[in-house]
Amino acid sequence: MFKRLSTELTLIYAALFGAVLLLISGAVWMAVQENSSQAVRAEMTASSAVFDRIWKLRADQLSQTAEVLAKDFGFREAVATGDEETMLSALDNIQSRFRFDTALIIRPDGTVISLDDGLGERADSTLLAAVQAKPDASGVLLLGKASYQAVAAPVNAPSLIGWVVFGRRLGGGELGEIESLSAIPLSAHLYVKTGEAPWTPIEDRPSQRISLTGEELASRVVRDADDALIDIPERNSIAGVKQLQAFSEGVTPVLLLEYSLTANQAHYQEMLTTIMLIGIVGLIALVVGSWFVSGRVTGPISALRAAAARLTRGELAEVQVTGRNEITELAANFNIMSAEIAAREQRIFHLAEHDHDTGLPNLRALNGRLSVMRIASEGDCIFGAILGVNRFDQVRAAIGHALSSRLMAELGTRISSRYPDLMVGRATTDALAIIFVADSPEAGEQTIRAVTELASQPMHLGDDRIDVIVTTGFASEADGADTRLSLLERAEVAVEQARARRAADARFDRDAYGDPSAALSLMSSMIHGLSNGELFLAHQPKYDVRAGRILSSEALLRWRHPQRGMISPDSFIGMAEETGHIRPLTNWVIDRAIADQRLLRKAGHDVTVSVNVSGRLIANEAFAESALKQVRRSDAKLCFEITETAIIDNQKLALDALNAFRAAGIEISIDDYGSGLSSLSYLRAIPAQELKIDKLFVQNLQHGNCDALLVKSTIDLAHSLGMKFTAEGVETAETLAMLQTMGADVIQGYFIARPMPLPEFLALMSEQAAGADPAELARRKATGAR
Amino acid sequence: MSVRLLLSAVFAICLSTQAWADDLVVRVTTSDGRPVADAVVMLPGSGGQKLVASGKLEVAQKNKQFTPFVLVVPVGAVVGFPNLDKFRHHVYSFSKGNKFELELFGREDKRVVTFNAVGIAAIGCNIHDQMVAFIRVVDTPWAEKTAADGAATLRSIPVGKIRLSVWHPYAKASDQTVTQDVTPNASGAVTIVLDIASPK
Repeated sequence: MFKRLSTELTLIYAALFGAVLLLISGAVWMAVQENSSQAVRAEMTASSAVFDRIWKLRADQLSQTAEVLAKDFGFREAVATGDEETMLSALDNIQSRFRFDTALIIRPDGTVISLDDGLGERADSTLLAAVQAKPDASGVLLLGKASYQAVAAPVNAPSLIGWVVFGRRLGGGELGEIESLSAIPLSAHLYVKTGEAPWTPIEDRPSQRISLTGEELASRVVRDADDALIDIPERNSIAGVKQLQAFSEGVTPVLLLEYSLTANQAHYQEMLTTIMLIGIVGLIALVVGSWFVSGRVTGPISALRAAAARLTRGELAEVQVTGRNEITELAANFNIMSAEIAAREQRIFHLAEHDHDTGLPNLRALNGRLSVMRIASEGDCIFGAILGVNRFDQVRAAIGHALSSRLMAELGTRISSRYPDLMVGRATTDALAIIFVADSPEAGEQTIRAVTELASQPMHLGDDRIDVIVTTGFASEADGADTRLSLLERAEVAVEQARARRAADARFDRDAYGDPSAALSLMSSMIHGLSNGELFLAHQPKYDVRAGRILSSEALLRWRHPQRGMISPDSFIGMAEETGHIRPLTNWVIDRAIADQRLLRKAGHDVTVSVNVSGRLIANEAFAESALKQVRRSDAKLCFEITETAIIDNQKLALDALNAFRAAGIEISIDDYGSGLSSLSYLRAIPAQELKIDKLFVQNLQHGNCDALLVKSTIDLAHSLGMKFTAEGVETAETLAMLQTMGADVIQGYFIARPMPLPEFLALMSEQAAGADPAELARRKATGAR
Repeated sequence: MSVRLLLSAVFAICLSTQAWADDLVVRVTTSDGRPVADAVVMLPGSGGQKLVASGKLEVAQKNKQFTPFVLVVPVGAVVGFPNLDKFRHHVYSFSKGNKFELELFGREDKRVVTFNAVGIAAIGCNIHDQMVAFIRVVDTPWAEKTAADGAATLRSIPVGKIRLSVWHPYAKASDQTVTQDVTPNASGAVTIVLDIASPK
């Protein structure tokens, strides 16, 4: 929700505080409302009582004065005798003495005597009726538009001869007096209603505006209602309505005491404002405080978070935290973890860039350096070399793994101590790699020769003296850049090229390397050719000397490419071996051989068909399985020709497979015997029935050197091991004769027959079946040709 | 008691003159039938005949009251105002024509007032407000005030149709007077209804 913990804490605290503040404010406000309402009601009642008192005091004063006048003998005489002048002067005297607003005398006949000339007309019959009904009437009296608090007193002389009425104007003093006596600010107003006429406000104080119109009052006060409290929400005030005594019937005067709650609440407002101010100050203090406190808590956490982010990016991350608490412990642990990660990373990095056994930089490191060199230097000055230690396997077998690793390390040290500018690394188990930038292409080549020479010097490891011979292949960045090989890969190829030439060193030979990508495309067209009949088997007959007949044939793979014509097996078999196509190709050959044999059998010729099986496939369990399945299914009579080196790489697997073949009735033939590393132990181990000597020995027979001896002894060897001896590459009758003499069992070669497509082979076999001896035919053909 | 004797004496004189006229007994009652005392029943006078007062022409002050409350006197009569209380009174009247003032006088003082104007004299005491009396000054021989039983007898009244006036100081009527043409019944009695306001 929040990105920062401190923000969250601060906001939660602030929200809680604010809620409490709101509750307090609400409670205070409600209390104030209730309190002020109650206070106002109490004050209203009090004010009403005050008004009553004032009203009564004034009424008493009026009444006493009226009575005194009414009892005055002289005044009575004046009234009784109709002495108006005296009456008026008496009224004037009283009026000015007591500051009454009106004074009048009513006679029993209804005539009114007053200082105010117009009063007689204004006074209506209700006045007389009022005093007749109640001679000492007292209350609100309306005279025209003016209203008075009036009191009457009868004049008896001794019988009733009239009434004296004194009055004070209403709406002035007494209202102001109530307002000033009240403890709460209120405004007093008088309203009067005559009969069914609407309420009329009585107001002669310009400073006091009338609060309610008569209509508004009427809408609130029930007619003739008793004293009541009314709410005036639109003015936020409440008002007490008090009925007053009327002087005469039919007049309803009321006193309205309006109390403004706003005014009352104003000083509570001050309190609320104070509370709010305290609240705001408190809130600010709380926000600042909790921000500070949570900052103290979350600051280290933020530092940890930032450090963790740095750690994720792989930077060194250490957190400085002071104090002693859980977070400090966490930070300390984090620092330990961070340091350990850094150390481990360094180790991993070192391992990634260095050879584990020797501590020398590995290929990855070298290639990394190379990419740096390429930026700064010319291509033909950047050199890479591979120094392959010759016979390393033998050396390792002799001195052990640990010492051989030390040998490589010492070799690296030897070079880099003499040539500090060179970067020396380990390329493979038996090879070191060197990269450097030379001053010139020539200088580079010289350096490499010097290094090769330096490396090829005997080395002392402990007490042992080891002769180290190094073959160096090298290339500059410019050499063979068009190949898909990297600099060091090219140097590695160059090592092989050097070894092939038996040279101490060689520069990468682009032309000799050829075009591997073309080879790859050759494979794809070979796959294509398999399915559309471009590839086929040619059979070279194998002539059994003792039987004088052809009893078997060697199936040889031929490829007639639609564009390129015949493609030599040498150019694609090796490639198929490299690319792994050899297995399906061999399976295909076996299939074809079985099919051809079936056709031969059909024609009545029992021929054992030999198939060449690559050394790489012998130890391949998947191949062995599929080949066995093919043979068992077809009941074919096959022979697998292999070279004895085929079992070197994985002797046990290879021998198991050969035994399995033998068990399935497949003959095993050792091919090209004597050309490679012939080992008698292999010869003994392989369960072969045939030994084919390399054709080089056969072809040299005629030249009369020691080869004849070798062939003879090999024949004897084969026979003594229970094998047939087959000679291939027999091209002349003389050679045939010699081999026959030596005891060879089977002859194969151009002299007997070239490899031929199946139809020709069938024809040849038919001739033989007709009685012809193929050797005799060949001999005759040869002499005929000569 | 002495008044009774006096009245019976007057009665006797009247009876002697009955040869040329009948007596009229007037009963004054309120509308609800209660007798009205102190009402003055009158017939208009003729030929200067004077009322013959049936008792002493006197309004005494006793126990802060005037006695009697109503006194009927002929015009020109001299009425005495004896003070029978131990304290002094200030008797006055502002009535038109009979205005007088007897300033503070005591028991030993003999005060008389001559009433020369026909009409009503309302008499009060300036010291004691509750003291009220009325003197009806008449110029007719036929005037009499009702007794406690509300009856008054007018003697030797003229024969025929008569115009009878009844006055009472607190009567609820114009000028506190009711005037009626009456024909006496065989027994020579007439009843007048007059409502009285309570004294103020």
